[in-house]
Amino acid sequence: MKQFIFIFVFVVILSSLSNAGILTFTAYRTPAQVETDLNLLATTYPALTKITSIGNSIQGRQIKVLKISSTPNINDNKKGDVVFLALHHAREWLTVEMAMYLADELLARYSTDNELATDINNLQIWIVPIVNPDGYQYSYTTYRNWRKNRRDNGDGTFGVDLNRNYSYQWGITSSGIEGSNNPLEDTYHGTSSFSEPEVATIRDFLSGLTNFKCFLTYHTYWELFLRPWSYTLSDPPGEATLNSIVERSINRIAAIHGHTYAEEISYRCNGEATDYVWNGYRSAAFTTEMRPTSSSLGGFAPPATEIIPNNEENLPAALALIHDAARTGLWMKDYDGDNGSEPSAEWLGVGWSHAFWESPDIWTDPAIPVAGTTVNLKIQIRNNTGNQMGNVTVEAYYNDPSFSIDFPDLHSNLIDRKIVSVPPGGKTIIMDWNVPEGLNNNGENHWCVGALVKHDEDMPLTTQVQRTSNIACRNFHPMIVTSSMVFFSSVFNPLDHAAEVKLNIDKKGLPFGVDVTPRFSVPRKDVSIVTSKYRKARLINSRGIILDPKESINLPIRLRLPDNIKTGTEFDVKVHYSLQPLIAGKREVIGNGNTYHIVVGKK
Amino acid sequence: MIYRLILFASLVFVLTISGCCQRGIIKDATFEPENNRPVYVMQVGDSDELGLIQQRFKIQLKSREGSNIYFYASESLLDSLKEIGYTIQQADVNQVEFRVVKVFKKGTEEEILKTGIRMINREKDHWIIRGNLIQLQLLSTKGYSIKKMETEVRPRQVEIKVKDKKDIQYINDIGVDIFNSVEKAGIGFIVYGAAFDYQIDLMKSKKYEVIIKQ
Repeated sequence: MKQFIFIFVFVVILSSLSNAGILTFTAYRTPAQVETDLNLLATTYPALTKITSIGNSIQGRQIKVLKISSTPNINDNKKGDVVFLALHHAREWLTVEMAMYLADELLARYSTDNELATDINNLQIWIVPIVNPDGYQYSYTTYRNWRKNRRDNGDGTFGVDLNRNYSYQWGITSSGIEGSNNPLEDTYHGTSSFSEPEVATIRDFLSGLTNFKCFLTYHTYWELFLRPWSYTLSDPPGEATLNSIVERSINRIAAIHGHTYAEEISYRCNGEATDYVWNGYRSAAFTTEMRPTSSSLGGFAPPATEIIPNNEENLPAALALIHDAARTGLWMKDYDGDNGSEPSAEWLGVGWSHAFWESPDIWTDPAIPVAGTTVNLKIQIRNNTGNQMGNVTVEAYYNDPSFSIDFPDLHSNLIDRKIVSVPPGGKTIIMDWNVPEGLNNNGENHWCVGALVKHDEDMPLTTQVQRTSNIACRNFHPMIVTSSMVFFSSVFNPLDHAAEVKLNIDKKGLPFGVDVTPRFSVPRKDVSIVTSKYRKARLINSRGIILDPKESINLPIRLRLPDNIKTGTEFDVKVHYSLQPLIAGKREVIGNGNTYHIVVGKK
Repeated sequence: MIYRLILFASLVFVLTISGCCQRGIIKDATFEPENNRPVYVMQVGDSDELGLIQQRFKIQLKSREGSNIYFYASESLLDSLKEIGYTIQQADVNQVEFRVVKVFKKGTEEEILKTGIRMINREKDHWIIRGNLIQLQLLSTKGYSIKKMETEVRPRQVEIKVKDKKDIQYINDIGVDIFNSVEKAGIGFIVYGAAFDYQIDLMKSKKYEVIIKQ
């Protein structure tokens, strides 16, 4: 029996290793051969592919993206977008081979692998095999070890490091790392962020995606699988979520040929791609530094015999991310009518389409938690996979909402973590929650409880509640009110950027005669005080309230009760708020809302 | 007929020789700005602000030092920037325009460094340096032969032995191109990468052991 199991597993592994595609990987492709092979893939699989030029390099070469989708000619905003990039750095030829291999395998297996076909049908997969075409050409024809692009810096030197040219923490920062400002150096970051057309092209391409799920950028060499941040040793928001994916990826890579990639690099650097994506989009973003581990094994030029084993071992990590992005297997509702679609809510300019901070799948017993007591926290995990799902991790956190809007983030307090088995349909998980004694940082009896569900085959790819069905949250904010009053809604900017605040009050469902209105106005800007915050607002014609990084503001809201309102009347006041960072490019709206559960007390 | 043949052969010979000599002549470096346009300077708060400026105005940046940015601008662009609240001054273009050039050796390295140039690489009969136009003019008046680079300057492949990860951070921060690092028992770390001579000098001043591979 043991022999049979061994042979079965061996065959399974072998079949997953065999190159199912039509391309060969016995030699490094020239730039022209990449073009030829992309066209070959497109003509062989016309119903699944589309090649588009998304921009030009500094020397005018096209930067191409291969789209893989069951609807390649339609931009379907219901489908998640998954992005793979290769060759930021010219000498890292193996990354081009990996990108081509990924494309080749996805297309070849579509007709034979039902699970993968379902994933692809739910997604738009974008593969950019060459971010740096000028550098690639130069590396092929002139200097094998070239890293940068081929901008003429005007002083006799050439090139900018494309993976130091992204905006987050670029250059002028307080992080302590400025990055290289010397055009001579191989890590030169350029005259400004996005100064390089290659990187501006990627920025613009990402900003055009409608449902951006995750991002993987290939590099060599060192054998590392890395998550944000690159610019600091401090942990990013969602560190636990990102680490779960890193660990899974490293395990999957090691399972193929025994190469255990590490998860840390020895130094910090700024202006890097995954930092930009995680900060700006909160879409899971990773860097793989592939084979080999040292220069003695070939460094940037390992022998061509390394191409196939390198690609084979890195494929499973990519497939796992694709699966995470495609499926809603284990999930929780964000609001009553939620059907699990991602995102569950969108900012409409004047408020969120749905109040996603009132998950019906999170509740307490008793229903209104009392400070300083222990309550039962109940979480409904839904399972539409049709299978019993074992080893499901369920985590619950509570946040002081004045600090954070991510789950989990650095300020999240873990309530409990359980590993459970969830049958088809779902299961209710019960945890003990010690409700904090006292008030939150803004003097409010207000906590956000968030729940996460994770499984090796189904990971959250963000910390934003409305963008993944793996996370749900519930505000607990009871208020006893005896007469008309003014209360304060606190807004805190947890970002590293100044941000414009918008606040909207949802008046649907208020009892007759009850009125809730904001009592603040946008402060006039004193033109005699010209600060960076002021100039930023002027640069984008912002007219809203601007908060500096980590600045908070208490916005007064007037609650007017009619004289004849009955004692014991209960209703919810939903305050929607959003933060839009003052940055160039697409300004992703983040935020959520507060739901004040009003109970009319005896006068 | 024979004379014509000899004359023709001589002409061909002379043209060939002059062609060879022409190819062997390294061009003198020039110390004029690349154009006559004025360069302006203003301060920005952070890279987000610079990004917003670029998004709105797409200004032609020349260089950046700290929070000072140097750029070209038309009168209307200057007015727009001032209207937003920026204080703008005209910069001395000779101080902000740089060249990487070859200087044939004369005297000591200390003398040439007094002009404020940066030593890039030391070669057998010349130095490769980076300096602004004022510094290069000064060298020229001191009698140094300064030539344009015929090819791009390349860093040297190096191995560096350090004790601590903080040292690896330092190596990165001085702009060394790090390929990878390996932890070695009893040593600390060996960092593999590529560095110019001025970076090698900095690392040696920190007592790192630097081996030049090529």
